[in-house]
Amino acid sequence: MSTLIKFENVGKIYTTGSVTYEALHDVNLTIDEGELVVILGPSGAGKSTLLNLLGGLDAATSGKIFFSSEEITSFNDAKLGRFRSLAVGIIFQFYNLVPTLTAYENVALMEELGIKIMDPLKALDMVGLADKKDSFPSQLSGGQQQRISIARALAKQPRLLLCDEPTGALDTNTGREVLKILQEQSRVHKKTVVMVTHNSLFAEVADKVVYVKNGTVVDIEKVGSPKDAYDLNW
Amino acid sequence: MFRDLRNNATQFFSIFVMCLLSMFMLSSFDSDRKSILSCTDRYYKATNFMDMCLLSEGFTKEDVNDLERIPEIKHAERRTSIKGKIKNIEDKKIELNFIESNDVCTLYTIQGEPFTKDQRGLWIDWYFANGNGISVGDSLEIECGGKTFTEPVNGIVAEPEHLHYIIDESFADAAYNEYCYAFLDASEYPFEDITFDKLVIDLTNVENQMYLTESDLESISRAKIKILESISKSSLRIIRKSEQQGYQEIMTSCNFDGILVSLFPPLFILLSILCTITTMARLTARQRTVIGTLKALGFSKATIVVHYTMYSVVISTAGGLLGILSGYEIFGKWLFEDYEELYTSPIRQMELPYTVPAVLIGMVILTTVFNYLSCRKLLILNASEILKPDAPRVSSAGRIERSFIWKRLSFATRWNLRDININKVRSVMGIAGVALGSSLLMGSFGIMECLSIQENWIFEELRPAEYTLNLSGGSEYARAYDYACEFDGQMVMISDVEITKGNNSKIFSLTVADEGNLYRFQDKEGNFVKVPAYGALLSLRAAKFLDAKEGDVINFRLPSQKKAYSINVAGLYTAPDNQGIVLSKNCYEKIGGYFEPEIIYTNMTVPKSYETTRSDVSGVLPKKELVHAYRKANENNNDMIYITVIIAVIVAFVTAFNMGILSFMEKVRDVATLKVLGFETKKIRWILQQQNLLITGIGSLAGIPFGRVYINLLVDKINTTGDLLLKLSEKPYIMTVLFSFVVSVVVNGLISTRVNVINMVEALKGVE
Repeated sequence: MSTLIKFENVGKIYTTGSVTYEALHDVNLTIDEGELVVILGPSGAGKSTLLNLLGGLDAATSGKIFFSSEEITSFNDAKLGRFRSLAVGIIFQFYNLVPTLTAYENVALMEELGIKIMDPLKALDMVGLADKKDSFPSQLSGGQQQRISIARALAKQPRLLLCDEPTGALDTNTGREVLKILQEQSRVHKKTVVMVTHNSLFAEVADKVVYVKNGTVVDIEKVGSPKDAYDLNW
Repeated sequence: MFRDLRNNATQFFSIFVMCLLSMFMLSSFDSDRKSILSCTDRYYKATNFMDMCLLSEGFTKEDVNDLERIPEIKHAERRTSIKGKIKNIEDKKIELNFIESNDVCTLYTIQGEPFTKDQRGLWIDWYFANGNGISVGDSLEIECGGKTFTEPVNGIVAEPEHLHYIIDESFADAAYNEYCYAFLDASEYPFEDITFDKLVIDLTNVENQMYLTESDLESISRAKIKILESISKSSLRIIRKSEQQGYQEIMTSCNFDGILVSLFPPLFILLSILCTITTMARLTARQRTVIGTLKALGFSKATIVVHYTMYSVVISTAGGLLGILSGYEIFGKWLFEDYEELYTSPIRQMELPYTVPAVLIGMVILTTVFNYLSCRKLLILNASEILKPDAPRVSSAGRIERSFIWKRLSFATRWNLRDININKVRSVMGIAGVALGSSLLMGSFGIMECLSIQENWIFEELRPAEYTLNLSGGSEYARAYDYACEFDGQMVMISDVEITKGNNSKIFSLTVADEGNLYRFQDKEGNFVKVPAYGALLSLRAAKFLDAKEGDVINFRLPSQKKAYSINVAGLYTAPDNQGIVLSKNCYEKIGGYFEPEIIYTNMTVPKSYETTRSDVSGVLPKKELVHAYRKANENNNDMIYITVIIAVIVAFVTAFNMGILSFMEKVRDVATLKVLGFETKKIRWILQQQNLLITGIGSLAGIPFGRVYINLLVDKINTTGDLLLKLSEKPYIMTVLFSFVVSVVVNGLISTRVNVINMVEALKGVE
């Protein structure tokens, strides 16, 4: 498998007034194409910062991040926007659907970016919600909203799926379903999936587990035979 | 509290600015108007201002005795005046008033001794004395009717009949340094026999205050009837207090201010209240978690309510107080300077009407009540319920989604329509804000155009003559005719006339016009109306007062005749001044009038030197002088309108900015989502701009009719003696829409720059 993502001595410092906070330092990491990577760590360890840097939502203070062979840390705002729209699908803990758009329209939204996406109905069908296409987010459960969010991310067929606590707001059964969809994306569709969580059980479904603590990567573990999402219980 | 203030600085600053501006307007306009009224009121009371005056060719002592026997009349005093020159002060003009006693329209002594009967000497007007360095004890050498005599100055005074006066037609506007009025005892009259042609009357049951009550008006009418029964003089004219020139001038000025005060500041205040209520409701809703937490921690409802209502109380009070102070000290005093310049009242003390702070208190109470209701809406819930996020709302755009158009709409339009629908209150407030702002702009631009076309209307359409030649009173028709021939001019006679229809009767103006095209009349629509060969044109205001219409018969009495005439109203006209009737020369002569033209309008150049070299010419006024005088007289009004326009634009800007920020804050999560998904900043800003344009379009279109209503009210009430021509071009409409959109687009452009710097990570953190 070829390397899709590479972090080289990446650091991130937040400054608020006179107070500075080092969220990440000396992060070195590689993620291969098609891998399902789980980033684990306690609260405040720097997991979400890592994910945000990876998705181009935030800029690194030091170091370099490569996507494929391109250095995304050198991208300007417009180029980062293009990168996010073409290469990255992001799934949030709180779904972040546009409340004024129906499920179908939320997925079809990506067409507005002028990029070619799969049929939104097909994307909804992939997550089992084709029958809810005309529902607004406020008319759907949390799990359904998260699946719409996944459908939106999948519709543009990105090479990289970033998931920030995707099951954090869901009950166990719904969370398991969401996890299954993400695992399939990696196993069947060969998408690279990077998932941030504080739930250590999720390490069991990953190909690679990255342990983050105090703003740096403390360990990287390759998992020999990952479990099926449906076999997890929490 | 201070942290919240800092975090929401833009919104709180908007509330502060809105309260400041609305109270600034109210304070400056109202303190100017009420100070003028109060000063004049005090002046009239201090000088026992006349309740009416009688004019005739001569009043005898018996006439006075007859009048004083009428129970309604307390006292009557005879007067007469002649004009002359002050030889030792550059031949400046002087009006010498000879009085027998001084209990009515008393002289207000500023320096020197009070008027004393039978004492030799002059009591001269204080404006002229100050402007020309005259002190008590100085002597003035006066030339009058071929006689020259010297009089010592006994006192420097003010007199209420001369509150606003122009000595003769050689002056187009008040220039108090250039001419003077003075009072002397009747025994000082320089000629053989003194003829008193004026009587000033103090009525028993009429007070001297500025505003006449219903009972005052009734007493004056009763007295008038009894005077007519008691005195049989063919040339008798009765001028009531409300018809006195100075009184009318000041009432017209105050009416203008009054209309502005009653129309514009309430709109500003309404916008401030709207802005404060909306902002605080949004802020309270955003603080849901904090409020829930405080309640869960055991804070009482009262403590929480006080905390959240204090923001608006403190900010609107601070803004309002600063507005009151700055309005009074800066603009109010500046406007009041015009009163000092135009009116000769020696009582001039600015005061702040109690209504201004009362309005602020009312405004603060009202916003506090609304804030309380916003807090109460949350606090009636349990702490656990408050801590839960607000239930999401279904966001369909309604019926339009079922129409065929919907699918053809772009994503941005659909998104915006649904956003407007789901946030109805915010959208309605936004539309109301824009509508109020544009009605303000429409009102301001409209009235600005009315005032500017008024000048053109008077001096280009109605009286386009390049020169106005005023003849001295008593000039023979033959002499006037010679001048008219010499300068190819049009002769016009203007005098007072008492017009009656049914029980309605009032002194109006009689205009008799000879053939010509330099003194013209127009109807309400601006079409020229020809003076009929027989019959009268009646001005619209006179028609309104008399309840008369075209075809009706009205009665009028000529100044020099006791006989009353009946004449048919052949047409109605609108007039900037001289409300009354217009007759043609032929018609006037046919009914027995003697045509004595006093004005000749001409396009030929009349030498200014005629004023001094020809005894029958009292003034030569080129059009530019008249225009200059007109502009000066309207300076105060124009200043008020200009400042209203400026503040209207600022208010519209601040309202739009505040509403925009509130709206943006509520959309920030959606905006961040779009940005995370890869939407370009430019595209997101355009989506936001589209909604803004839609709301601005609806708001400005809704505001224009209200603005038009404002203009109608202003035009109808702004001037008690003349009409404003209400013939608006498309300019104020275009300007209003243009300004509304420019303000709106600029504001939205400014706000949407936040899309560039939006912190996607922060914006997307959690639901709360």
